[in-house]
Amino acid sequence: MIRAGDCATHDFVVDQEAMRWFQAMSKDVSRIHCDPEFARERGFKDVIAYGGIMLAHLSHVLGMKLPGPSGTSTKWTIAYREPLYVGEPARITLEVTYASEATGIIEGKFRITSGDRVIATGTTQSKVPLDEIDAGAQVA
Amino acid sequence: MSDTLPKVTSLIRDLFDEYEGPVTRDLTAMKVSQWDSLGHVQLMVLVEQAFGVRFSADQIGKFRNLGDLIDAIDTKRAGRA
Repeated sequence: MIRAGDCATHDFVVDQEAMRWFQAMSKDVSRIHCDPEFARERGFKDVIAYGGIMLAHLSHVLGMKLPGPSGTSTKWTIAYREPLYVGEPARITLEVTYASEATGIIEGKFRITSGDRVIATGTTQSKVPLDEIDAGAQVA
Repeated sequence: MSDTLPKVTSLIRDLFDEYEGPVTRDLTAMKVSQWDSLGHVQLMVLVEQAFGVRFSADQIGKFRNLGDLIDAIDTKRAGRA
């Protein structure tokens, strides 16, 4: 049963293999992700990880942990706040903020952090079967 | 005068952002191309959050038009006052 306040976390590292895979799949070869010298000229330490890879890890959290395999994502928002560099450990923390008994809609907020740096924040919305929602624990 | 219709109108304008027609009590999902089954549950969630009310699954399936939804909101708000 899913209720407001439920949390899930997922640790990940964006490695060079993931960068190559995402570049090949997305055909995004923008210099900020591929050219270290360009990235340093722009004030970054190195090339920065593709935001799409972080979304792939968010997909893992939603699909495998919370709400889990019975859920269907219906909306995501994300704000990228700091760069995530290749090889840095990162963590996604997702918390359910709203669970609607009438509609089966679950809403959540998430943070992607690396150490004490906040890399990104955002919100999610998923549809789940009505009988998976705990109506007894709602946030007003 | 109730502020329910203006508030719901704002929610509808945000959610169904391609709809440019009038938002009146007789508005139905048939008139709004984005108002499909998912759009309906998303609208219900926005309404629940905006007005601090809760619907049952049975209730949200019985609204015939926007007027029915507005009346249900007002009834719940009056009962809470």
